[in-house]
Amino acid sequence: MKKRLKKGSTTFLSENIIFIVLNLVFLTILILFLFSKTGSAAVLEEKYAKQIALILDATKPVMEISLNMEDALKIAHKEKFEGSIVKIQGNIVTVKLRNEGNGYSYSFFNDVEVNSYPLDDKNYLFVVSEYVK
Amino acid sequence: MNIKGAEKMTAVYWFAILLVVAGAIAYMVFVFYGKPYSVSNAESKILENKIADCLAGGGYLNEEIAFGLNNDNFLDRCNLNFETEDVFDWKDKGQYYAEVNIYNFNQNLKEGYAGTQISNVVVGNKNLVEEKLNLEEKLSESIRIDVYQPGFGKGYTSENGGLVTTCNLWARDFLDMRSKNVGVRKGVTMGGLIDFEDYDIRCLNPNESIEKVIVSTPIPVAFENAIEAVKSGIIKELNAEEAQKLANEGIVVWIISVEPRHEAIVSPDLKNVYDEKKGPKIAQTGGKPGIMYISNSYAWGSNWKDYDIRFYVFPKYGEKIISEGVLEEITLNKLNSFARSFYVLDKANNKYVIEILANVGKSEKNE
Repeated sequence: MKKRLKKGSTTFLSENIIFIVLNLVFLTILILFLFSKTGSAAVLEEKYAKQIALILDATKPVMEISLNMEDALKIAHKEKFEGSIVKIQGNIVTVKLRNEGNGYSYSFFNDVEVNSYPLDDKNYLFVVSEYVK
Repeated sequence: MNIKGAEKMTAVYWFAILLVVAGAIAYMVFVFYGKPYSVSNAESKILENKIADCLAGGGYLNEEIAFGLNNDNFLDRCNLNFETEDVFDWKDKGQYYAEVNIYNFNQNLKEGYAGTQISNVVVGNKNLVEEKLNLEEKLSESIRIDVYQPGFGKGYTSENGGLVTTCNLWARDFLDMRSKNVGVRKGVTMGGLIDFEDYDIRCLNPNESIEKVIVSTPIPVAFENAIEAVKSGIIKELNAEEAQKLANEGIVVWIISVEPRHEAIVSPDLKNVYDEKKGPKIAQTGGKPGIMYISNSYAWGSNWKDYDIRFYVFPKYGEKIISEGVLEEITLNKLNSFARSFYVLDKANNKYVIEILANVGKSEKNE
């Protein structure tokens, strides 16, 4: 035979359950917020522009560099950005992953001719052809 | 208050705390991700390597590039492009700086002498190096507070620990003096005083390079100022033996020749053997403005033999050192991080020394 709980005990239990659930919801939101910030388009634009510029600074003709940009490509897809996510004009790399804004640009000092292509759905290819003369 | 009421109050406080914590975390995230990732230090190192690769390979000098190198052809010969994007005023101010010195090294020369300089290239925004080292302010400060200085301007040089250059010798001298319980708290480079309290002076490893910022003064200005200072009693004139004695005690003694006008300082003579025929030991400027070395020469030696030399001491400065008598760790760390130098050979096995100093600014607004 089941023993009936008293009214006060039931209230106490339900309050604690609600409290724990709310805590979990709060923590989940917090973690989601953190992840959304670390993987945001603006942060990735800056990260990849600088990373590519540093890579190109250290290259010599004739080198081909494959860079995994899966997360950037995913963000661009999510943002419905259909242009080329990496543009190299002169000695300036621009990474743009969304329709708003101009992307993030960063210069490299190595005076080389560089072309960039999407290699597959994960990687980008940078071809350093020759020194600019 | 009954138990139920107390529990409700506790829950309210819990949520208040959670809100505060959430706000703090959100603030921290915005502060952290709001700032750009600075990669300028990595760029400086890559630029330094790039220049080194351009000038030498496999231990041999790239003669086609290195010979005849000057400010106008440096970027082209080394395939560098110092243009930057037009943000944060980067384009107008210039965000790169490169300096290259090439010496024809002669190992038969006395210690401290690098050899004949065959190239000196300075390209880009020199302010970047000043900003980074921020020494001008420190020098001015120390001079204003502690000592009358005949005059000073500013200049840069990079020096190689393996070459036994001025800084290296000075570091050794100071460290040796320290071991002899001589209080050396401050030091003078050619034409200027550095408050060594602020720097990490140590003896360098053979392969380690050091960058040094020194000051250099138009000599006539220094000379005129010194004469004025003597007249007004700010500095005191010494004879040669007194000059060496005080220098050995870590006191700054200034040497100025009347005609032709030169300036130098008396170097501590660690062997403490004063020879009146040689006169005090001299630390003096090298082959080009801004480069200095301990020449291992003496006041009456070949370099200064025919000059009318006068020795001056700054009493206030000397008194301060003697009265304090405190030995402090003398460091030059701040000057040490971004110059590089190395030996190379040419096809005829002649030895050269290449010094490279590179810096990238690119300071973003919220950095």
